[in-house]
Amino acid sequence: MSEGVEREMSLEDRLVGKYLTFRVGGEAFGLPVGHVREIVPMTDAITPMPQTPDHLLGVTNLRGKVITVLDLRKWIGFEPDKSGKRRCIVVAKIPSSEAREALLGMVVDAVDEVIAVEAEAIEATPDFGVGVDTRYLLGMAKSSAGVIGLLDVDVLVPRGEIVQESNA
Amino acid sequence: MGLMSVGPVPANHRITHHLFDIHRLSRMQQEPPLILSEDMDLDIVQEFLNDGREHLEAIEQQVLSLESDPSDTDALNTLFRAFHSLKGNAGFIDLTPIAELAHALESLLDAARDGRLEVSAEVADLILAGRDTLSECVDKVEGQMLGQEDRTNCVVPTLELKAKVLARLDSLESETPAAGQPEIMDPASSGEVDSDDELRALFEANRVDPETDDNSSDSADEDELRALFEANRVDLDEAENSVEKTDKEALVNEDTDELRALFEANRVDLDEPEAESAVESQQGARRESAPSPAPKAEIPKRDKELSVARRKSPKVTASTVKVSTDKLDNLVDMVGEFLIAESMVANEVHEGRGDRDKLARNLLGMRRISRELQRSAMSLRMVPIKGVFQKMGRLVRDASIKLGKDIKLLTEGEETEIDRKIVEDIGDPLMHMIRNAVDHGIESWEERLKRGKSAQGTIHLRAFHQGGDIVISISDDGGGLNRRGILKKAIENGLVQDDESMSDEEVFQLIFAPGFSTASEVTDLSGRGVGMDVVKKNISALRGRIEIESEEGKGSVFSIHLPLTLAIIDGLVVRVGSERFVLPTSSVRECFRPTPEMLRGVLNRGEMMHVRGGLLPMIRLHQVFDIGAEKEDPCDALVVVLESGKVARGVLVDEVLNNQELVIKSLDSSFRTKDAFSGAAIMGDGRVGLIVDVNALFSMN
Repeated sequence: MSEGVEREMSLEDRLVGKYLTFRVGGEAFGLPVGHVREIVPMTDAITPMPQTPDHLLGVTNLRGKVITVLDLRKWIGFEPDKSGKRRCIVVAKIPSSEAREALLGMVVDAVDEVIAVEAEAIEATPDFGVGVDTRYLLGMAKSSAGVIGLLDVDVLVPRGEIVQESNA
Repeated sequence: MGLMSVGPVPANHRITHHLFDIHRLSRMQQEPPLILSEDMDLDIVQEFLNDGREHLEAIEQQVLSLESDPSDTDALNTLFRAFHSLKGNAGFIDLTPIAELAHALESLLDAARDGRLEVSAEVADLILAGRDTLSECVDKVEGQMLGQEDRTNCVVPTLELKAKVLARLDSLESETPAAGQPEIMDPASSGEVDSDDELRALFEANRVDPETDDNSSDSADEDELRALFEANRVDLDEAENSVEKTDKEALVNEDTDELRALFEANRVDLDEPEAESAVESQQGARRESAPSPAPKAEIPKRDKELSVARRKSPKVTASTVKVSTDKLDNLVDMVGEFLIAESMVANEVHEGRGDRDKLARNLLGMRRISRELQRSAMSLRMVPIKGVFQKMGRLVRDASIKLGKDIKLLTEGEETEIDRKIVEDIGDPLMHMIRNAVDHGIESWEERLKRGKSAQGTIHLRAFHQGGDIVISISDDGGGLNRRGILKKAIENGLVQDDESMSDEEVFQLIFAPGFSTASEVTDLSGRGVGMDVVKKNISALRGRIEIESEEGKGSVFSIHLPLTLAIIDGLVVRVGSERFVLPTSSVRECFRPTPEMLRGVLNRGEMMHVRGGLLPMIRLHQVFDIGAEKEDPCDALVVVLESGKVARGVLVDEVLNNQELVIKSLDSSFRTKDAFSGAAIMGDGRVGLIVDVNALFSMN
């Protein structure tokens, strides 16, 4: 197998699988189910962390574990939610510098379903032009519910760090 | 057990065959490869590694104590046993180089035990070199087990060292023609007895069938008899020692070497009473040292129990910890009590009698138990600091020899228990500080004599409790820190302005500044700058701090203050606006409400307060953290005076809520904010409270 073929296959190969889909600011996004730990209702008990970027809401207590909560709306750049509807937190397992896996809570508007994404449905992230940040998307997937942006968890974390440092 | 089930192979044949092997090997004189066989049971290897490390550590300690007191027979015996067990275990999993080297060293120590050899510095060096080589071997084996090392081609040079050890032994034989136990150690052959030889001979000896043993012992050649005898002699020692040991300390994680030795000892006893006596009758002269059956009668049952227990032990490849049975029993008791208390509460609720008083009483009892349970569980994390201190002994020995200084290390409070994590992480900084003390603290002996001190320098390493802290102090009677030199250097490096008003303590703390570490230039100020910033960072990471006292010409004392445990923090919960923060109570000096007079008349130096004649810089927490405070006027708010080392700041908060013990949860490092918080804690209402890192807070301001 030549390297070229391998690389060509890798995007779709990597992305094929089951995704948990959810809505953020009217758009649909998907997270590989392997990264999803659980879904909990949005809570008021979030302690803000001083001197962190705006999209980091703070930390909360998940049955004795302290987890960081990130507002996906703010992170992606949507307007804050004004509907007053109850939102949820998707708790994702993220790569961590420490030995133990870290958990990250992502606030989303609503959780839809788990879908299987086939190779044919996957497309590379289109170029939206200057000013649109698509680094957090691994790719797009077409489904019966429309086009789903496949989130890259690995990007969620470093981005938090970068913003944080420029803030500091 | 598997060994015994092997069919009745003629013992003679086996041994001859084996001897042939040995001769072939020794003729080759190539470094034997150190290779862990693929099909080896990982559990056994892990056990070997754990035990091996323990033995290697023991060896280091014992050599040092033997050096200071050559008549210490306990140390000598422990050393001997450690090498013996290493040899046995290594042989068990076919790690020939380890077994052979350990065997050579064991023989050397045997000579020392018999009084034929004095443990001089030269011999100690030899043993330590052997230990280091074996330690390297053990690391390699672990590497192979974890797949980090190449299994096909791994060689740790052992032959040269082995030859040295054997040469030392040979020189003995020629000096004093076998004074101690001439019959046992045949001078002509003992030098050639190979570890493998002996081990296999041991196995052979065990294999002898009870029915045929008259026969076999009659026909056995001298080699076999000698081997058999050796095996018994050694095993008796082992058995006695291990029985003693198991009685003395009933540890959860039993020393498996001792068990194995015990096991082997029994196997010999059970299978070969006649064979043994046959040997004795044939070689009656050895009777004095022959094993007497009496003390062993008790062993078999116990051994069986233990070996069963051993086999049941879970498959662990993670690090293990030894816990005293007292602690464990206490924990289990507590869990039992807790379950009872819980069911009492549950009963009360389910039956719906609604007797609130009773419920409250039961809950109170439950809370008491849960506290006790917590304390009990925490104590499992605590280990004596002994291990760390013992490493320092070796360090001082080696470093002072290298520098041609005569330095004595005194240790005190080795039994002081501290958090396991601290024990793991304190080693490096401590080593660094001790090395500094040896290198730069203690003067050369010429210098010392000139100053009217004894030629021998002393470093005193102590651990003790002080307040809620554990203190590890390193004091030396060397030259002390040079205040002027440090200031000069600090000014050159731009660390401070020309400021003569600094206290000694503040000046000394400058050596921890990152810019202060350039090795060659600092020797003239007794050079304590080398990497001290790293030391400080490591200590701070453990929520500790370092204090320095020093008198020029007399010596210095470095005190490392560490929290008792890393899992719990005693915190003062304060409110700023709508947010709560936890301030470590250990850093809180006092709280007060400032009066307008306190705030008057301080210009151009940030916000300051007059407190009892001194000036105290003020930090407005709400400004630092950029949150809305309720009370902007300090006179309405409260000031909490925090200390970090000798630096104090007044921190302005809206309200002090309470003081409580909190379990520390780590914040994910990916989102840590400039380390302003050392961690988080779950508060009584289930929300998360952030624990302020006092050092970081001060440096932010």
